[in-house]
Amino acid sequence: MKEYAVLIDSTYCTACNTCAYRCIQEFRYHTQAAKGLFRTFVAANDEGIYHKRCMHCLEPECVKQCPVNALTKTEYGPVLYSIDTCIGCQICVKVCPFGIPQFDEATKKIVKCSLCAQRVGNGKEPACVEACPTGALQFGEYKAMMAKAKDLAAKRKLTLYGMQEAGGTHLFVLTEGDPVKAGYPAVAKRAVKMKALPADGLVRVPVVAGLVLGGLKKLSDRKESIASEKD
Amino acid sequence: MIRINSNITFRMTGFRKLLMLFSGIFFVLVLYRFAVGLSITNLSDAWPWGLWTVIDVKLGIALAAGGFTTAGIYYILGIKKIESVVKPALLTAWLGYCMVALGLLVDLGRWYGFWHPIVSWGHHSVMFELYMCVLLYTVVLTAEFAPIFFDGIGFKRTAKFFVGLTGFLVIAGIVLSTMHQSSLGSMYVLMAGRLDQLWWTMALPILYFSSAVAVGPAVVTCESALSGKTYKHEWDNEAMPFLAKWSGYVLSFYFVVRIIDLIVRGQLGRLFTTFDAQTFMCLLELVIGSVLPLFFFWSYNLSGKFMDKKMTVRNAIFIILGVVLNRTNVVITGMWKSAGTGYFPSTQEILITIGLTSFGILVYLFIAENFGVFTPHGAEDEDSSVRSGVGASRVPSA
Amino acid sequence: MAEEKKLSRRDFLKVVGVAGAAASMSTFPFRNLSAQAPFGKHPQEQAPYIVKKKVAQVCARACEADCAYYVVVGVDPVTGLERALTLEGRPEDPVARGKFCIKGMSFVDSLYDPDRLLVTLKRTKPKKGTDNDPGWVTVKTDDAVNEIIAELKKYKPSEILMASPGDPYTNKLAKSLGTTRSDQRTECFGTHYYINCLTITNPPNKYYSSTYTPSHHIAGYDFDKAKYQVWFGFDSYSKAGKAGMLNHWSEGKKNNCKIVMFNPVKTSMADAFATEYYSIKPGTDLAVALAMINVIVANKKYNTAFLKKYSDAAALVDTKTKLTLKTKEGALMAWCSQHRRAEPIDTCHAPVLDGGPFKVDTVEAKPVLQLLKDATKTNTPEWAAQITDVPADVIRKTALGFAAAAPYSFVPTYKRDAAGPNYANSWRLRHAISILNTLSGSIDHEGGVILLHGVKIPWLEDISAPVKPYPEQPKEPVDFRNQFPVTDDIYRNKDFSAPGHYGMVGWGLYNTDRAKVVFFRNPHRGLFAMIQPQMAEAALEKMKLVVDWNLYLDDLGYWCDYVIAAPHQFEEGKLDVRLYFPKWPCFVGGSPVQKTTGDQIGWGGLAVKLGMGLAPQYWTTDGSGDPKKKVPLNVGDVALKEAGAAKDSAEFMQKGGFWINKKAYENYKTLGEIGYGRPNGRVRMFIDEFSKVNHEPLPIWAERWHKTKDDYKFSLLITRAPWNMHADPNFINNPVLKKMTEKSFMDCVWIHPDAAKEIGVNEGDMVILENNPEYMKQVPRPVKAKVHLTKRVTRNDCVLTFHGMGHRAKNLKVASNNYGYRDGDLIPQKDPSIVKKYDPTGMGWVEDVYVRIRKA
Repeated sequence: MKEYAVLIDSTYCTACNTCAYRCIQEFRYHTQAAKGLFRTFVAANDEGIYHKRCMHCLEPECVKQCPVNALTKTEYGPVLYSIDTCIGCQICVKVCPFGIPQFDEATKKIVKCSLCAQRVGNGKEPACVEACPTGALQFGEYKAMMAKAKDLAAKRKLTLYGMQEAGGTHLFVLTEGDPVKAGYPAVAKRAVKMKALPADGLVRVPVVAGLVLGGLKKLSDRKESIASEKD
Repeated sequence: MIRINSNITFRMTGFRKLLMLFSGIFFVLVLYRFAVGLSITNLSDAWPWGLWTVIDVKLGIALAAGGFTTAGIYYILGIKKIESVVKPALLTAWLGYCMVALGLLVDLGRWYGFWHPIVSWGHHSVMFELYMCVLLYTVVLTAEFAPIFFDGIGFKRTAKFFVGLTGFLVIAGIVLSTMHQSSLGSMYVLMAGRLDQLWWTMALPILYFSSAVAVGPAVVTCESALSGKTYKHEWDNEAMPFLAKWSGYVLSFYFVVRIIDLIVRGQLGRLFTTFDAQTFMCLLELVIGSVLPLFFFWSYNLSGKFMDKKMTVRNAIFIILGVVLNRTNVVITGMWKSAGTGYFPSTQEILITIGLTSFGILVYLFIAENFGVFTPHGAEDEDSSVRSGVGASRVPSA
Repeated sequence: MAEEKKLSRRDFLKVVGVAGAAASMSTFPFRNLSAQAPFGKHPQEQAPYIVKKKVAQVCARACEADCAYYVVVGVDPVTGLERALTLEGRPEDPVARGKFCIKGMSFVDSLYDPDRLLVTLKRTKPKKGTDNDPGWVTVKTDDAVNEIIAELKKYKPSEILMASPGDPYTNKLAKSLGTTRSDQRTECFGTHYYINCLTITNPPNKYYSSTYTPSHHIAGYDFDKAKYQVWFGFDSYSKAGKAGMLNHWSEGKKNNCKIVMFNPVKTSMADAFATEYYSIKPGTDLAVALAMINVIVANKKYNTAFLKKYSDAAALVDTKTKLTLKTKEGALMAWCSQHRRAEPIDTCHAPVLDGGPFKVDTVEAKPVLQLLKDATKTNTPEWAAQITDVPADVIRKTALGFAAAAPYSFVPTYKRDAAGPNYANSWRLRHAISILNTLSGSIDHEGGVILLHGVKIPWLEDISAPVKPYPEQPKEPVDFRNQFPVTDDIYRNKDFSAPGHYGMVGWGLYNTDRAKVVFFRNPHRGLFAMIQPQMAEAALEKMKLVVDWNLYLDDLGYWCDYVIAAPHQFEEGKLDVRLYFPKWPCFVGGSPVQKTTGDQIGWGGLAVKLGMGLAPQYWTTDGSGDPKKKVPLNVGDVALKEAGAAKDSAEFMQKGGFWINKKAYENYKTLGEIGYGRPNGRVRMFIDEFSKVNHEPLPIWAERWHKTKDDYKFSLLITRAPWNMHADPNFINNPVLKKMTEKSFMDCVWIHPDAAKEIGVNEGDMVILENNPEYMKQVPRPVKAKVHLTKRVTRNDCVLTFHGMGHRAKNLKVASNNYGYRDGDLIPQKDPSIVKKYDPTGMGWVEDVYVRIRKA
């Protein structure tokens, strides 16, 4: 399967939130949305337009920090969430640099964009992209979208957000001014790379520590046995 | 007085009745919370973690550090003079972790999935590490404590079996503790950009771990002083000064790292140039938790004065308060600005925390009174090695 | 000793063994006991609902664009029931081009709104008002209609007011009863509609259709192909909720169309579509438009060929009477430079555009363009800069850029924001806009103002003429439209669907006893969101009978004796032309998504019942009143057959409900067919009708009506959230949209942070907005609202309010529950004696208000 990405050209966006409502109808989460839990929401802030939605990071912190793999990164782009494994610890809510996952108390579910994985699988665009009246939202192959985003940024002197933020994402945002002023979180930038999740250092540490401590204990036991021998 | 059988009894006092009331409320509320979800709390997406995380999890784990530190000092480093505190420390730790586990469970949005980490390993997750360590360490502590329990109910053979495991258990306990004590810190390393710079540092795991190692013995000290009053055992003039010294040195290390870190990241100046809730709380934390106890410790230590009970307990209290303040600051004070909204726990949250603590104290009292946790030092009977596992690796001199 | 050592070694080995096991776990398959789902198996890769069918529909009443789309019907996973779930686009529709908006989608959910009115209600307790229990009883709709007919028979036609837009049924009903019809489009479309009539569309013309959209103007804009546009407040936030236009603006932007926007508020529309944005002092747009005319005319940058052939620029005007000279046949005259005499304008080969005065018989005459030059002589960009706070060079540059791009340049106007910003001087602005579009020659030209052509949906009278003339309309209607001869002439004699004076209806109901009965056809419009509802409320208390036909029981209902249940727009069949993007002749149709679920009655059916009950002679083909000989209503069938689209509506819908004739747009052809002087129709710049009522026939500068005084210094600006309409419960009773409104601060009033500092309010404070009692003399009602500080309001002298909230009907659980405020309370009903001094159309005016703001 190909790898996909969404391009948001916010210079074409009027914050009409048609995307947001289409999303709600696609996933039937009206009750959640009425409480303010949106998978995507567009704010017309003073300094520009801000799409608050999952960036589908290349190396998602939420996936890394999920203790039970309820969040997974797919090869074709989206970060998916499985209600079956989630334990509701909400570490994803805490660690996401973009402040995206939200926990819905009533359904005990994390509310987060899935990039319409079910539509992508059927060759359709995500619902929000299909509905966007101005074409500000575009969907396509990751590489092609990246090239397009870079091209537009250069040609029209726009700022590209999502390229290096948090090590790169599957969402490219073009803004006229500073994206952070428009509302996008100031996130540490890292060069784009797509490597596997870090090796299981956490498991190896205790092994070494155990061995060292074991040695120490042996030493102290020995010291004592010598002492008792002396007795 | 409640009498279960000839051996097992529980004395009733007004205070204990109050604790029972709170425990009762706790169980009702927990059941209610399990049924209806987290909506009874003031937790939100801006504050997914609040009071329960601070007290039931973070403080619980830090304060229960006495278990692995004393066990480590006793078994690994072979400092045998602290023997009298090992058993009570293990009891506290065991209870502490049982409560932490319960606390974690209560804090989980989908608590009924608590077993998922066992089958679906998010092995790169700090949270996973925390869960697994807490889970395993609770098992380890249970096993460490098992001899006391089985001995108490008269299952000598079973008790003996567990005594045999002591060496392994102690080492596993230390490894697991090291991991999750520091990973509690790592969890907030992840809050880069959101946790106030006064607390956020890459050194958080080291700070968390070292402060836990310092506070563990301090808790044991306080506990010993308290239980000494209740159970009329004497102040151990060998063990306690040692623990005080231990805490003093480790805390010195902690404080040096903390201050250097603040200097390196250019935050120390802010403490004295700006005045807001964050700097105030940070100063309070540093003064109570580090400056005062270190001042007393070093002035005694350098002048070679003997650390008496009063000084030891006072210092221990300072250190504990310091850790309480530190953990509260990291979870609440330091996150206040970035959260955008305020947070104050709901009545239910507070009642659950109080209730959980009350229940813990009750269980502690019950066990302490029925399972021979406190054996006056230097007066152990022949069977003590079997009963507690303490001294198990030591061949009875007789 | 040996034993002890062994023990410790065993310990050690144990540790090593376990540690080794732990290390190996990092690659152990048991790491993920629950394996990751293969593609397509993840729960989130499963379709969330099952689609059963897609029903063709056309949006109606949500905005002027009227997008065609499909309503997707499927199985709701939550309930397991079949229901309408969402919309899907129709790419072939030239308006929507596969898009739809948030409001369209909200209609899907409002089908199932638990607060919808499914039965007809009758009042049993006399005390009216939202705070009183009406003692509603449910009655069968048929019985209610019969009771209402019996009641209506007791009153004279002049005592009855039909408060309804001019759809074919309302028109026939009001005409056949001889009652006044008046509607709320005064504020929305009024100025725009009448100036459009008086300059271009010249009703009735061959394309005037009885479409579902009750606006009946026939001009749209070719945003796709335009090169230069000037927007006077056209960039309202509400525009963001119009997918049928957004996609065209987007297309225009891709084609590098330049758009210059003037607005005191920098909206998200400006973010997306403004090439240049300029903050302007509220109520002064007219000065910029006049200065643009000044620059274009003075520098002769106008489209001479167009002006000569397709406009009245050369038409001679008597300088004394300010009336155009006409031949006996009524044709305009022009001064021929060759023959040096006045000739009929169509046959004159060398008409002069400027100079004069020329002596024609006994009178001195000048061509219209020369008069325009004279009229705007002092309106230089420097003059306008003083008034508007827009730099003079910006105005000059804009005027020249606009002229250079002709005929691919225009100033768009649709409704409120159009002929408004909506002030007492806005009829002149709208007139100036029409003149600018004439100077550029963009009217009826690709890339400019495009006119509806090639299709017509007839009126009921077109397919079945009444057997005898309709009775006279009341001499003294309650909305005082008779005081405005220019618009009254159009309403009485040319287009009965023309907007009425809703802005005076409340005044008339309250201050006169002309009306005793009001019949509201108020399909989820929330009429009480309109201007000064408190006056209408007070007036309705004394009415003998008040009836409302509505999809909801809204706050108006609390003053009614009967509220008749109406069907949802998706429960009705429809036929529509592409009125607002009429590039090609096109029909789109809609089928009912479901049958009405309760005891509702459609408007057509209700109108026929009332007509048969009250004026049967006009509702039967032979005037007999015989129920078997009812007049035919199938205007859609006739239209479709005429165009060759289908033999009738049923067949049309079977074929998919879509027909288009995609021929190339023929520039200036339709203008000839419909304009003034047809069949060689022209655009008019000079409006004789205004001269006759002592107003200027060409636009001149005029201040706004309302003046600042002391603390009453905040100019009231009105917009609305993209997803709301006039307190329409379809949207404001939707909890999701409410949340969006709150998240966007659109339930607040917006002021600039500096203005807030001055009056000492902070973000989120509650404030009171009050009218100057000099301007709102009767039943004032201050508004309490939350304040939002934002630099999107670019000036300190204005306050932006959001229209369409503040519902008071307690039965609407979402809408009435502490949701926003009602801007209309701050807009005075208009005293006709004042209005006619300033404005011969009497339309609009809603933003011509200054308020005081203080902390609550």
